[in-house]
Amino acid sequence: MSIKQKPYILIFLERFKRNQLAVAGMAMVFFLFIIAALAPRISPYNPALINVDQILSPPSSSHWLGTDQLGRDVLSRMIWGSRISLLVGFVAIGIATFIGALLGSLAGYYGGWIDNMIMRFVDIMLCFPTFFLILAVIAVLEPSIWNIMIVIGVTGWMGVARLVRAEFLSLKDREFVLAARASGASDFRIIFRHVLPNALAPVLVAATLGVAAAILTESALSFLGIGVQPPTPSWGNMLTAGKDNIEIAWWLSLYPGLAILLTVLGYNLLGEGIRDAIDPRLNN
Amino acid sequence: MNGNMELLRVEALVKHFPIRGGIFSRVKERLKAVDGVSFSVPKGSTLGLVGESGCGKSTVARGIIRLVEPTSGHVFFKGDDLLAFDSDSMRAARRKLQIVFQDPYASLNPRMSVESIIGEPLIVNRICLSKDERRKKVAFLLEKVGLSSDLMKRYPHEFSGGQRQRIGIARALSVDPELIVADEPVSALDVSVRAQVINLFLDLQKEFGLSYLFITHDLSLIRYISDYVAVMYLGKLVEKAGVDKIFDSPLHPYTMSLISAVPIPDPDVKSGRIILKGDMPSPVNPPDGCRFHTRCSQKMPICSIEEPVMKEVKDGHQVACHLVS
Repeated sequence: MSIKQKPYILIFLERFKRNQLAVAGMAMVFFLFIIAALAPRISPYNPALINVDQILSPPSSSHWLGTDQLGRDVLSRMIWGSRISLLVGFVAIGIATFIGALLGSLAGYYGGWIDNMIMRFVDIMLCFPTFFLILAVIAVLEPSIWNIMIVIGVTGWMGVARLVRAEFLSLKDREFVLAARASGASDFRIIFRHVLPNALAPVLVAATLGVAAAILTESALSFLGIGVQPPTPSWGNMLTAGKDNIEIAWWLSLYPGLAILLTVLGYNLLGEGIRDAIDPRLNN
Repeated sequence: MNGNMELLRVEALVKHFPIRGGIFSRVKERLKAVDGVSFSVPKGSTLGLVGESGCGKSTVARGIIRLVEPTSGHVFFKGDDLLAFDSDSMRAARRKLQIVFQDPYASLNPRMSVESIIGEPLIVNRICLSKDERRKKVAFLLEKVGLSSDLMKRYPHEFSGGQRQRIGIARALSVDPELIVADEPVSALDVSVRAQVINLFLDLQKEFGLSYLFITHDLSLIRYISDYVAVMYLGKLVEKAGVDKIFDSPLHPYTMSLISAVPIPDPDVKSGRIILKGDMPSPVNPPDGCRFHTRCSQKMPICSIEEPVMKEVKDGHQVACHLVS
């Protein structure tokens, strides 16, 4: 009776699998998740345990990645630091995506002066050098991990808003949306049940790429000492310690740096892989 | 057409789309998609609205149920002017006034199951609020449009064009409408499927006492399905009459050329085709006088100066042409 056609998700997976870099990116992200989830089980030492006998000892069989200036195990601190990176990435981008999707929907759906107000506000927000805005805000507020996540989220929604608005502009006059309006559906229902679910694919890509950017921002803030505060381990504040001892203890800088590099790379490859897989023009 | 049997009456419907330009996005020009269209649909009958692509047929359809907001005019539905309604009354009125769209691939939300698509009007109009009741109604509607009720968990991409159009019809039927505006409902379908869907429209009309405003560019289809015909050209109606009168004794040169273009399924009959020259003029700058004079084979001097008005020639046969006045 019905025509057999592959569900979209299978076509998507097939295309995604053919992109080896994307699969590698997904593997990296997945690996990071496992590490973060299993942190209490796999970390060999307590990350806050100070050992004055082992200050700045190089990588060895008892401390695989060496110890820092307080004798704490670098590997354990990196494993616990992965939780911070993931948390910041997801919460910050969650906030950004929520604000962006909401404002983008309203702008795209209603158009007119609402659209103008929202999009000019987006332009204003984009004019600020985001990183220095975050610096200024954190300088006023107290630097805590929650403040950082909120500030990164609140300054990072503009791209999502533009994407969602553009999708709405092309979707809102489609016949299935007109049909919903003709059957008496409210604006709220049309926006959230008909248009937004069809606009989410590019948002997913933007969010994945955004997680990488948020992790990078958190690391930078922590490196500058106004991010995650010691003794909580984060890759960024580990780098700060590394900088002070870079001539005598290279392992303090190299490993957290590598972790940031691979994580950001993984998210970027994953995001671009998803983008290529949902792009119908690359149908090969 | 008896006045008290009239279900829908459209009076002087106008829709101009502003074309903005310049730095202050001022209105530079107006695209006159529909420029004063009047007709009525008697209860239980079908009015066929014909015209070539771009003449404003779909804008009329969308203007009637206010999916586009008409610039001016009146749409009387069961005596009430829909264009005077606020958005809440309009939402209530749409229960009795449904639309079936042209493209069955674009008119169903790809992310909703058939059950949610057909069930949505039942939820938003508070007809069936319990899930069981709704499922029963959806199953009933699916059977009515000739689909199995087992298919309600499926998604639109699993169906063919004809099946999707049936789903669209079931959605329109779900709120028990009195009038269905069908905007080229079969022109996107294969010829083999087309006849089935047309017959479905006719069966449903008999069973539920529906009235149709049937928009199409296919004249053989109009002859099969309509009781009355209105011919549209460049935003205006040129001729209105009962279906037999239009086909047996067309009066407007445009109607004549349209009818002469209908293929005759007999190779021995010589078709006396009237070939129209050129394209339809732009609705941004419609010609002065009669809008059809730039392509008319029987053009007179007056045609480019004075616009002909719609006049009744004989019982119910109305035409806007200088030739007949």
